[in-house]
This record gives sequence, C-alpha cells and structure tokens, in this order.
Amino acid sequence: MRIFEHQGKDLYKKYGIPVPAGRLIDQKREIRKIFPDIDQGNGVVLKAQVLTGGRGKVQGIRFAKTVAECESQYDELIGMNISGHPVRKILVEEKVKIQRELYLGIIIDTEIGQPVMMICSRGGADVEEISKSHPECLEKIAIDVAYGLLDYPLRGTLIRLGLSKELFPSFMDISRKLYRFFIENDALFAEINPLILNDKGSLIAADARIDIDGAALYRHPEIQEMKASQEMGIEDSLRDKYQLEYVELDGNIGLISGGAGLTMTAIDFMVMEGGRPACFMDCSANVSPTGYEMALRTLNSRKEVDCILMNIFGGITRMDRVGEYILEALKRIGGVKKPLVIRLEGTDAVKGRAFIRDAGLPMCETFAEAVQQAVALGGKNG
Amino acid sequence: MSILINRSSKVVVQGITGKAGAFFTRDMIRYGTKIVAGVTPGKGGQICEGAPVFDSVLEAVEEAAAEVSIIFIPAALARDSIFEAIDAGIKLVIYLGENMPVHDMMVIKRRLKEKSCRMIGPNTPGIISPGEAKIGFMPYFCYQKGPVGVVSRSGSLSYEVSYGLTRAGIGQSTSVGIGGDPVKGMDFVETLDLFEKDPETQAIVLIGEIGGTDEEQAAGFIKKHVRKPVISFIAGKYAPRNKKMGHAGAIISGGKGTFDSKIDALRDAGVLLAELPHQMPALVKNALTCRRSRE
Repeated sequence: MRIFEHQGKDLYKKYGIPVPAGRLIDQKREIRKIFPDIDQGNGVVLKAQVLTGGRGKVQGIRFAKTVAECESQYDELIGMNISGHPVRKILVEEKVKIQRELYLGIIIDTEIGQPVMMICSRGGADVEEISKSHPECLEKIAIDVAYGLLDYPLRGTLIRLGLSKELFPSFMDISRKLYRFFIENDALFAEINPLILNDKGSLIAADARIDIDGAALYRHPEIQEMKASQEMGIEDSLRDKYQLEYVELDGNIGLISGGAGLTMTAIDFMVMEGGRPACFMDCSANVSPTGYEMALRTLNSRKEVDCILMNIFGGITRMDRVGEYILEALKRIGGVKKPLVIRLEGTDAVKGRAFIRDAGLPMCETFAEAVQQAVALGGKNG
Repeated sequence: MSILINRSSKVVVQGITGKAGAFFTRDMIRYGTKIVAGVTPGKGGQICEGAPVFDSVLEAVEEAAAEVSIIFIPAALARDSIFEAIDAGIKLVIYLGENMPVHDMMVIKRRLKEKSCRMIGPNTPGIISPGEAKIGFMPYFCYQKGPVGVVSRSGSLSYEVSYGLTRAGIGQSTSVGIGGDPVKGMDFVETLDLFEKDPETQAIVLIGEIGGTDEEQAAGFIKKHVRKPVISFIAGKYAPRNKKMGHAGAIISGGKGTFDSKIDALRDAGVLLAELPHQMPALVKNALTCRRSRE
C-alpha cells in the first residue's frame, strides 16, 4: 500500500528523521495563515500529493516567495491531473537551501530474500538514470534481517562514495532510523529522494516514498487508517472489498480468470490471436457468487467491452461449485448484455460444464477454443 | 524416483483439526500420501483422519518420525508454526497460504538457512510426485507418473501445463510449485539442481512469469550446470506493467524482470521456449526423443 508523501514524512518524523517544516492544505485561505511560519526567508515549495512518481517532471512541484505567489501556484496545482491521479491536497514546505542532493533507500532484494540499502551520492529525480550512467555513484549494502544494519559496511560505503567525514555521523544515524522504520512497519520499500544536505551542513529528508506490505496491514492500524484518506479507484475498491485483482486495459474483450499466471497467459494468448483485452481480472482469491457477480457487473457496465471471456481452471475449487456460482451471479445481475464465452476445467469440470450448458449458455472445451471465440466476437463488434 | 517427496515420505499436518487441514488431509491420504501425524496445540491425544494428533511438532518428529510438514495455519500466525517445524528438525516445510507478510518470510528464510531446512511456498499449490504422494491441493487428474520434472511460480499455469502433458501421454517425476511471492523458500535454481541429479527425470519444464529475477537466475544456473533439456513458458508478454515500484525497484532490478530479459537469458542458456502453454507437449516430446536417441 502506497502512502502520501505527507503521511510518509509524518512517519519519518516519528522515527527522528529530520524533514522540512510544512503543512498539508486543501483550502486556499489556509495559505495566508501558515505562510509566515513555513517561510524561512527563502520562500516555500508547493508539492502535489499524489500516489505516483515523476510529478517533478510535470510541474507537480512549484515554488513561491510571497503569499500571493503561493496562492496563484495553489490554484494551478489543485485539481491538476498527474498520470491519472487528481491533486486534492498540497504540502506546503519551507524551501531548503540545497548544497547537495543524495539518495537513500531500502528495498527487498528478491534475489537473496533480504533487504538491501542503496545509497547514491547524486540523488534527485534522475537517480535511476544516474545509477546506470554513473554506477560508481551508487552503492548497495546487503542486510541480514537476523543481525540488522551494521555500521562497518555503511561506513565503508560512505568512504567509497567520497562523502565528507563530518557527514558520517548524521548520515549513519538517518540510515539506522530508516532501517528501523522499514522493519517495524513492514515496508516493501522506503525511500528518501532527495536526502538534502542544506546550507548549514545538516541532512533533511525532502521526500518520502513508501510502500507498506498490504498483507501485514493488520498489525499497523495507524497505517491502515491512512487508507481512509486515499481515494479509491475501481481497481482498489474491487481489491479491497472483493479480493479481485483487476487492472483496466484499453481493449474490448473482458476477461474473468483465476490465478495470476493463467490470467496473464490468457491476455498473451488473446493478443497473439489479434484480440484486444479490456482487463486483467483474477478472481482466484474470491471464488464465490459475489466474486463472480462483481467481476461480471464491472465488465458488463463498461461500454467498450464487447464480450466477456471466463476462463477458470480450478484446483482447490470444485468446478461444479464454480458453475453454480456463475449461474447465481448471472441471476443476481439479471443476465449480461454482452456475449459470454466460458471455459471450465478442473476437479468435477464435467458437472460444472453441464450446469452451464443446461442454463443455455455456450461452453468451450479448450483454452485455445475459448480465446479464439472471444477474439472473433471482439473483432466482429469492435 | 522423484525429488523431495515419495510414497514413503512421513508427513505431519500442522493444523490438522481445522476445516481446511482435515479436508486436505483426507484428499492427500486418498492420493497415497503417508500422513503419520497431526499437530494442534491443546488437542494432543486425539485421532484425526486416522492420524495421531500431537501438541507439538517436536512430539510428531520424536514419536511418529515425521520428516515433512504441511501447514494449514492462517498467514498471520504462520511464521510461528513454520519456526516450530524448522526447530523440530523437519527437513521440508510446505506452506500453501497466500498473504504471508514479506518481512515474516525474510526472517523465516534466515532460519531455514541456519538449520539447513527446505521450504516450499508460500502462495503455492504445493508439490506432487505422481503415483507416489502429493503434499498440497493440486487436482490429481492433471498428473501422471513419468520422466518430466515440472517447476512453476504460478499454480494455475502449472495445472494447465501438467494437464496438457498428461493428456499427451507425457508423465511427470515431480511437479513443484515454488509459489508466486517475491520472497520464498525453494527457488528455480534449487529445484533445477534436484531435477538435474534425479536419474528418473529426463527433461525439465520451467514455467515462469514476468517480474522478479527468478528466471534470469535460473538461466544462469542452467547454462552452467544443467545437461538435461529444459523447456520453458514465460507468462506476461503482453501483461500490463507494474507501475508501483519506486526508483528503488527500478535501480535494484537493473533492467531485469521484463519479458524480454527473461526470454533472452533463457534462450542464451539453450532453453527451448514455448509461446503458449499448449505448445509445450510437442516441445517436451521432441526433447525426450532427441535425448533418448543421443544416449
């Protein structure tokens, strides 16, 4: 679960990581009240709060020296759309005088199944490119969760990166705090980019990008609450309420499938046959009348969807049940307007298929047949 | 022969008295799996599905000689149960459940290493050695005994591919679902190593998908250490890209994890590639024939 920058900074602050003075606003009139506190003589920065990266490259970050400037920047930012994310709230912060920008991040290295800390001596928006073009600026520290972050590899890293010795204590302090945050909050990644060295020689976390493991939210009620402040799109609400993994695509063939691997394969297959999939929809975590009902409702209501392919290969679930669930789901919706192509395979599939056929719906025998039929229907109408 | 499990593997079911535990215990016994014990703390002394129930895994190891454990415990409590199995001297732990916190799995991974224990999972249908034993919930009719080792990240795809092989008359030595989670127990490399050393396995089917670097690591291992033919299908050629990862994700992956990166690495390692699952049986049959004629 991604959290907003301002939420991330509040969490970092709790762990003693220094962040700029700032205030979250969603009303223009607040600017007049907060400006004098935030402005340290150097002006302020306005940062659009969106759950996506790259906002700096599309003017999602603005600067202002006066209240009037700040208000006009606010007007331009609020409601702006950044990669499909509308800007509802803005973080107004003191503008930090930058001497140097660094990068500090922790992520799970799936190759070894342990965390890795990454430090780049040239942080900022272009850190990915710099890590490629100047690999000598990037250092990685493998961490063993049994022993935590040790000092000596960290110190060695800072020496190799050529950072000045005076910075070592504060850099190491922030690194340890970030690691503690990462572990205690079940983070999948936690980044500070940039980690700014200001004109007074102190390090400040100018951004906070954090992803928390959704499977561990049950033990972090305060982070779970942050979710309430986030707008939920259709994809999020289907996942949160109905355990359906749904990703909208721009084609015209709806897909209802089970298992991520098989769902991806169905998409590959459709495209290879010349079809255009309208979505990725994995229902394996909620095999029930309600699960199929919500999946069918979602696709049935999308105008651009011309037909719906249901491809289910059941291992755990008996397919006679799946057949019943699908019929029950269709009954609850009152039938779908779009043509359906169904293929059921797995335990007791013979019975499941019979249920579907008896209800007057067509059945396909193989994966290939089902995909080809769906593509033909999609092509005819699309 | 098969890898990891066979008909004489002595299995303990942790959480045997729960609904899922009891249901899948019956299913596994029906297939021929040797369930020697169950564990539910506080219910020691009972009999469940014909197996004696103990209060702890250690008792199951000491009194019923259990070697392999399958755990039916909710994800939030799984870490403790897996530690219990490892610490009791179990050699292979199988956890099928989804939604295991990744941080729990990182800690478990360290313990597995310390105790030289193997784990399959999480988020997998489990493992089956057709005609011998199955520890997991895969549908038995997809499989038959034979010379092909199957290893897969995706459960649903492993059913689809194994069923295709079975219908084409090609059986399997063992099918291992390593699971779809980013941090897991056994990986492709460890499983490939066992298949390469297993005299009964004559060809290996590797089913991968985009994301992570498992397939690239597998390719590196195959190039150096695997002489048997490997046939692979990678799902996700046209899948929507995961836009979630921050800079950290992009930096650490260093361009790996994409469909092209995986296909290039596997091709470079001499792996035979199928574009779609239904092409697998013909490729496997061909590889088996070539291998026999070479020997």
